[in-house]
Amino acid sequence: MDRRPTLETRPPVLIDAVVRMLIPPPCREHVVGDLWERYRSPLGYVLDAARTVPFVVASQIRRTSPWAAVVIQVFLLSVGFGFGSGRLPTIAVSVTAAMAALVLRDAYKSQSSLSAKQIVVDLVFPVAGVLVSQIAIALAAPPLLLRPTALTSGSFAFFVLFLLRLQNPTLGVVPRRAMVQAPATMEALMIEVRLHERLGRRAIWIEALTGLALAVFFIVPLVYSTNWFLRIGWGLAVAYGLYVAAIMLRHRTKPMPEGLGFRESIAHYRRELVRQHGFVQTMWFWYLLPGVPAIAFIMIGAAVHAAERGRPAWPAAVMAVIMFGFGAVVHFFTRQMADKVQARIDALRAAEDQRGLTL
Amino acid sequence: MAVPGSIGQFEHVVLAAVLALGDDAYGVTIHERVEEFISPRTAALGAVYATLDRLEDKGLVTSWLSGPTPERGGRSKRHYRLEANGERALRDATVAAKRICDNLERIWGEDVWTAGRRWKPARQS
Repeated sequence: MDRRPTLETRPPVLIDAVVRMLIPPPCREHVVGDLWERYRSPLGYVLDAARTVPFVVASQIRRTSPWAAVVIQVFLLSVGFGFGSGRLPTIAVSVTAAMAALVLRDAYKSQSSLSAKQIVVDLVFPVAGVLVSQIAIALAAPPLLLRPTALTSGSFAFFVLFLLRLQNPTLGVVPRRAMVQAPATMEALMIEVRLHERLGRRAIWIEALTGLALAVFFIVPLVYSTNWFLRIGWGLAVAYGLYVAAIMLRHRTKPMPEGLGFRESIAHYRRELVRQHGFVQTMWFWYLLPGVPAIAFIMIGAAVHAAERGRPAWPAAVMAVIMFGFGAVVHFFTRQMADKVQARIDALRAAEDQRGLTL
Repeated sequence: MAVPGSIGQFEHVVLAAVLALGDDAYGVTIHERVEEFISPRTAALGAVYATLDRLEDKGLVTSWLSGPTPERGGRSKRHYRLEANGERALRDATVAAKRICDNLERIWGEDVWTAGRRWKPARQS
């Protein structure tokens, strides 16, 4: 069957331009090419595109925004906007606008640079989403506008989101293709190793400094605690922040020594990944679990504080459930990270075995 | 939770199409072969892309862009190839399907392949 369109059978320029614009850049080239190849008539082209583009966009969103990552980011923004505004509809509108813009930005970005500058550019979109939603609310329902305090705490949430993305720069990036293939040359291997070391160092430092910053920040509620449960809880939270900083600095990435051969370099890199895999896979035990007593004491203390003032205690219980749910999502997210590291370890081991046979 | 390397029914069909097409496996040809396999049902081209993306993320297929071709408005094709894991997953899924089929034949007492609608290609090229 001859599928080649002639000059007369190419799609109308305007329709083609709209279709091209709707397809995310990473898949645009081959999807548009395939649609051209199937071209029969303008109407057929539109119907074909209508049956193709939604799947392509959804697939790209699935790849760039895993659900666990979306939940973590929604949680951060909800806490940020919720801290300065108790009105649920206001928080929901702002967070939905920000996340919709961020998810679409991740799906439609043509470059997948892991630099801090790229992350700042990516975050401009959710900030713009919030501003647009605020303009719409100002026109439609002014009482639902975010308060200035919510704007301040929301800005802080975006800063935390920036740190989270800086620490996990693969958020919003399509998973590495051909994970099953090990680097074939020394140059390719060293590019991967140096990138891995750089991102590893950055992640460890961000986590350690965040732990220290939180430890200092938690001193404020510790000083103003109104009962012993809160004092113990915030005291444990300070200790937890310091513990996280210390354990992160202890597990810094070990740089690869110079002058190793290709096989030795692969073996060294694989051992480093095995170490990292163990670190990530047991995160629930050494990272999440030690934080539980602090949360439990703070929630009980908050409930006692509310009861003393004749207010209902259930918000503390709801907050506790949300915190543990968030912990479960973080656990799931780290398990996914561990699976990816394991896939890379398997590929490197296979390459080592192959190399051993050929040498 | 899904077993690593396990595949769904549509993924099974797409993997089979990629294997059958060999070097000529790209979006349009894979879609045509998939529709042949699942005839009389049809599948959207977009569903095939989404499945290929999922299979690639699972490490079952790999893809690469070929050079631009004038008949496609100067655009490249994304070609797909089965990896060793993909072939293993395809084999496992086919064995499971055969086992189901054998069991149904025993229960119904008739040849599943010839009973009901017969398979025929969706399009003649």
